Amino acid sequence: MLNVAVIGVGMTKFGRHENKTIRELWVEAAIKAIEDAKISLKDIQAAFIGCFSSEWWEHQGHLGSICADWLSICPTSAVRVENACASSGAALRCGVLAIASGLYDIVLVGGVEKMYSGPRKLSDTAYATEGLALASDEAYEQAQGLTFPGLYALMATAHMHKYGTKKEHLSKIAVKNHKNAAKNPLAHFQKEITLEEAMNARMIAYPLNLYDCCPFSDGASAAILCKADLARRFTDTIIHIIASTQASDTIALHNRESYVSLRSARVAAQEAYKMAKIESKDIDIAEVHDCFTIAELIAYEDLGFCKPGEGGKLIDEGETEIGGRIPVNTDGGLKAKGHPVGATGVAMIYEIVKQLRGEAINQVKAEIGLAHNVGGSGGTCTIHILKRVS
Amino acid sequence: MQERDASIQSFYEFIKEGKLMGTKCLKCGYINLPPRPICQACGSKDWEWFQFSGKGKLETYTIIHVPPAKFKDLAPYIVGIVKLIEGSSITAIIKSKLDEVKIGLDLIVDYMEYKGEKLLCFKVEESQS
Repeated sequence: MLNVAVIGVGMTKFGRHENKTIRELWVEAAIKAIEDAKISLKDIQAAFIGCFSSEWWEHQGHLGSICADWLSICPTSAVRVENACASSGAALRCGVLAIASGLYDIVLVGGVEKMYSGPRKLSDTAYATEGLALASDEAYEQAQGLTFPGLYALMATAHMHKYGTKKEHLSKIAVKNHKNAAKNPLAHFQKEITLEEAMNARMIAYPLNLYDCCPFSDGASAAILCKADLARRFTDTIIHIIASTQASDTIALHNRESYVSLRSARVAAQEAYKMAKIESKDIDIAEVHDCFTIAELIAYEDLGFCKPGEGGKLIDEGETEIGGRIPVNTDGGLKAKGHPVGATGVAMIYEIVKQLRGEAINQVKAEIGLAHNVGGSGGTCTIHILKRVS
Repeated sequence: MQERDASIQSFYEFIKEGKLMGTKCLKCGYINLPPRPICQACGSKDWEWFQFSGKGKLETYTIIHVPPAKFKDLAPYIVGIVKLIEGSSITAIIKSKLDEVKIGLDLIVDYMEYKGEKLLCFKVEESQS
């Protein structure tokens, strides 16, 4: 047993923050989590912060210390964790391990990314697109003209060919996630879209169009972890992390056995279910990494919510909608809530914790929640399972 | 001792010479593409160079409509993963009409001069019938 509880969560609005830098976004999210946990700055014994590429978007390295410095928690140990889009899933896991090791009682974890133009550096869509490509293989994918949406498009084409998945299945995921984000004040897009709009948007990388792709966003997320036996000092609603796993895979797609499933996700999920002593059917709610619509569909299969090849059927039957058997991305997901790359993993934990506490915008009945955070095209996957124990 | 390291630089030097090269594991026989100094299948560090015939089939593809700056002049263009007849797969630009590309297409290695570089790509292999 990990003996780790989550006692506080916080996040900024995801979207455009043109007047804010990385450290400022981070501090906003961290303070919210600290206030939510009702602890003080001096209670924090270590910090782990996920960030993909502050160098690309802000010409800023050495992020761990910047984040500690601006939060005024020096000389507390602070580490920046980078696993592409799974950076804060990995940072969270570092925090879990740090407490499970017995070394610390209270740890701050989170993530941050700034992808739009800020007060210190200019960015645009082309610049951000090339930034995101850093998560793929420079020598053997980027050099061949492949883009980041292109990687998931390769998976989509293969999935359609092997299982008969239709473009409509992908578009239905975009419609669902926009609908879930519509009422979420922290979401990048608070706007519903129609299936027709989703089907007919501008092509980005066939078969994926604009509405199959998540946006570039600015934002930060944070959570306070503590040793589980101490949790009752801070809160009456105790939420434990009952599994924390991570797996890797080849950086390039062409070196994998399958293009229709992520081995890293399957392995991390199997290990997580084993660690938590549960099965996939015991999950009440899931946050999955829908950087592209096909990624959510493949996640249904990799996490065991349906059989391989039946992701399209699951969305057709409405099982992942609010009110369905396993609601997925109730906050709007990366697709509509937004995807500030390094902040995403812990933002998933924010939603799961809100749901388990009964404080969510789109509240569902849930006791056990799962967060699936993928780096790149599956080179990394982290899985966390949370359970309300009182 | 091999004359060239199983490196990224060696791979692209061979491409300039018009050769698609991987490394064959001397322990388990697995053919690594791109070349690697440690076998992906068994972890052995003993290898020799292996030249591919260049023939293969299209495993999956995308059509890039929003390209990186460097490839702007080519868009829209097809990028695919090609499974070579020897069993290894590699990502490359596919020279095919956009409305004729499909999974399973027979392909043969080709090269393209682009912005002073020799790019690896594949073209459709005309049937022998």
